[in-house]
Amino acid sequence: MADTTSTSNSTGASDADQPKIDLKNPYLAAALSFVLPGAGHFYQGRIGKGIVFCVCVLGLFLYGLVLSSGDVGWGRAVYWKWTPDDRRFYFFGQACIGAPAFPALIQSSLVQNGEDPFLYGLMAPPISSQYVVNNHGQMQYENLSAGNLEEQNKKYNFTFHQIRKSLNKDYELGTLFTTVAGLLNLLVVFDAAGGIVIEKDDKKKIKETEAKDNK
Amino acid sequence: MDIAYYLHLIPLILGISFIYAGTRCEDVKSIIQQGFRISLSMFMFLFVSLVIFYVCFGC
Repeated sequence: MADTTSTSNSTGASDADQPKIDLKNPYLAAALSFVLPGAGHFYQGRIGKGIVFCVCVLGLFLYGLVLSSGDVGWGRAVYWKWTPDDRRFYFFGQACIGAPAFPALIQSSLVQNGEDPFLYGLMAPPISSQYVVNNHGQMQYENLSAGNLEEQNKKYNFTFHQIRKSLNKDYELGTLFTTVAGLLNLLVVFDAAGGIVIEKDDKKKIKETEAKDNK
Repeated sequence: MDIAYYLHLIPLILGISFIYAGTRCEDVKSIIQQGFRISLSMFMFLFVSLVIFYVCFGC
């Protein structure tokens, strides 16, 4: 990472083409970027870059939410649940996007307290299910807390397997997109805190140009 | 997997490329140029990989 003021890139553009970056308070910028992608760059006055990051990261996240939406509710690939039958490791990546993933925590709290999720089940965790043996002697999943299917549809209370069956491959793609978007936001946070990445060759060029300028 | 599902990789690759390019350049024009260059490389790599897999394994 660069110092608080950096002047170079590794794209072949000359150093003179790059404006000097005033990172202001890098810790505050990093925190703002962690809460909302691109917010730290807006704070630093790097508006163009902030817009690019905001569009790319939020675009990927929203695309993932749209893919994992359907009859079973909105954005079902993003949720927080930590029970023996469902440990949602993906949420650690998804949560790195900050505020956009925050509804998942509210929905998780509501569902755990026995209340129904709001806003078409947006980012609501699935209800618990267990294996039971049916009349044909086969193993199948059964809901623990849900009522009949009509009631489930109204309250968006579905098990993981109902959601997975309804959304099919889109569920996996939604999980992938939202997780990648969250992890990419970490790059945005680092960029807000430290400026652009400068490689060794660029550092040599900067020293050479600085030495020439001093002469 | 249905071939149409590979189309979903387009926004994913574009997003990753632009953000990676954003960590290396400061002005928007350079980010866009570098982003498209990286995404083109990734698309070519993906295309060649798919052709090799299709020819060798038929999948």
